[in-house]
Amino acid sequence: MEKIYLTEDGIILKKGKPVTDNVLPLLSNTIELDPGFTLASFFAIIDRYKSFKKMSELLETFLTMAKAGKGQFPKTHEIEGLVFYKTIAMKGFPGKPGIQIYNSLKGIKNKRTKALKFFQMESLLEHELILGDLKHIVFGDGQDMFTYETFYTLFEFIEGITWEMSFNFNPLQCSIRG
Amino acid sequence: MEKPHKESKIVLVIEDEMDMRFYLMALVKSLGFEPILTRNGFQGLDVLDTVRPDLIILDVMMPEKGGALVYQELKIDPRYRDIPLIVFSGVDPDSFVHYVKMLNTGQKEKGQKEKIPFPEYYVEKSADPEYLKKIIKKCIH
Amino acid sequence: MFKKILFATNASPACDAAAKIAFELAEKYESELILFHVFAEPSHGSGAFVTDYVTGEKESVGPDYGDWVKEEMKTTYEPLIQKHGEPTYETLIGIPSTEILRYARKNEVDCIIMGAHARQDDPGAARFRGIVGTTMQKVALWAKCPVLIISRPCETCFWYFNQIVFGTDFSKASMSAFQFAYKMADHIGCKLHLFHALNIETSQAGVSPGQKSIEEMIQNAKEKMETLYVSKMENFDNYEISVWEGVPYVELLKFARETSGDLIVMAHHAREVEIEDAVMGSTVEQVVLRSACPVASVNKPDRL
Repeated sequence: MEKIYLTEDGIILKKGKPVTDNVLPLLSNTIELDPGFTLASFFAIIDRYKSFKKMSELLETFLTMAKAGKGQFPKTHEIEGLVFYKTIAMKGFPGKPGIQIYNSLKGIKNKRTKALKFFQMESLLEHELILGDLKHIVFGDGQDMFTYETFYTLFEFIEGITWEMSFNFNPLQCSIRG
Repeated sequence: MEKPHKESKIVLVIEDEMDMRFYLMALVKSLGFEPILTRNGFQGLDVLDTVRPDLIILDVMMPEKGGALVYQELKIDPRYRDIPLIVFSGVDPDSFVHYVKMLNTGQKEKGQKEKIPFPEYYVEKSADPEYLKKIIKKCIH
Repeated sequence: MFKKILFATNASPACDAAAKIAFELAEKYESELILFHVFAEPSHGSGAFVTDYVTGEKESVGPDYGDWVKEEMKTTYEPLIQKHGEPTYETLIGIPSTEILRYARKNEVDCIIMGAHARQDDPGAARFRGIVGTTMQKVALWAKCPVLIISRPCETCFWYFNQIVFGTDFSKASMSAFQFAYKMADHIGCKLHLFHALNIETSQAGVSPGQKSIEEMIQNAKEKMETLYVSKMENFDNYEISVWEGVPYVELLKFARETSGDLIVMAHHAREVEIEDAVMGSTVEQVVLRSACPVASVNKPDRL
């Protein structure tokens, strides 16, 4: 499957040319992010290619927040950047043992990941966002994870970030912690 | 219940769930042994700095430093590798074997010659208490 | 406001956020705080063994078990105990939800506080499990008092409470939730937001209702709130009515964010169903999963 490129300005490039319409078939394409791609760039893509908004009832809300927040919220310095990565977790207990495969968006600080739940979404917008390696966790072991190179589809990217951002409805007066 | 021996055998329990710690404490005491209870891998390894138990009962699914990682450390450390160890887990043994295989792959890449053995004693949490007692007695005596 | 608060815990890190709120609320309202733990008997095949070890009787626990759990809890919650004071400890062997409900009923508990789950998960992994655990579901369903569900910690919520958000879908069940929210706001003297989300569905052939029609619906909803709720508020006037258009859980979370809501009060379930058939409504679940503040699930008006 042909790789597509997501630019800092929120444009999807296919074979070097901007995609203008009919974007839904691209959801299964693997992606690469241009250097300088930020969380704001992600929302710029959703804003430009409005079909993607139908993927979640939350995206319209996020777009409004992102536009309203531009320039209003200072960029947080509690992280150095953002990473989107896949996890394969072997889960043992409770319940039946099994495998969970999911995507996460986390902050990066001193080469370690940091949960984003307590951050205001607007304070994350200007941070560079990169695609990370796949992590294989066994039985919830947070210390020793196996990592592997992997790829991401456009669908995973949009869906995963939307899910993660849905945990960021922090009261506007809340200061950043963690 | 068996009365504690004059010099009780010590059983180190590494288990993050409170109810499970109580259960294991009750079971170990009922055999006349002395339990030392710890809540996570870090605490368990700390105890080993000062106490040499006669048996370690190790849970697998624990937050932060999981049981499999603790198992790895115990089995490659010459000070601890010969202490009898029961892996006591809600995870089925095949899953744990899978993890040990992966750890051994990682070891190879790190250039370490020591391979982590598969556990000699593996008891699932759903097992009958009498079975666990039998294994504990077998390990210690 | 709360004479007795029961905090049900298994002393795992997943209960830490709920513990903080339980201790802080109890101190603020000078309530008796009961740290309640149930040794889940059948879960590991160990229950019968433990019962034999302790006393051989299910209903009572020997001093060994009770004292041991008390010491564990003291160790786990030492910083909170030092800061807020010593709670009461209760330990039992049995099925957690059954024992929690029985104790709460027998001892006239005014509020139950629980974490949403017994174990923590990353947001990514959270999509694989039920939004709340089965114990939580059962307690929220059958409790005769409000149940505060704490899904995640809020580092800055400590007013308890400043802005209460009551979310309604105008169901019969919502009336109990309203009564609790109003009573709290009146007692504390804080602001009460009465909030409804208008979920505009497209009509046939994919045609959306026109703007005028939406405005009429919003106005109707506001009038309904006046009739149903405001009319019952006697002299209380520190309230605001808001009706937003959109998906209920999304709009409620947005609203709570913008108003800095520090408590969301909702009915346990939306539909008018028999209690035995009620499950936690999807809106409540989605709000519980993401809310930065506690969510009070109210089912019955008995202890309001």
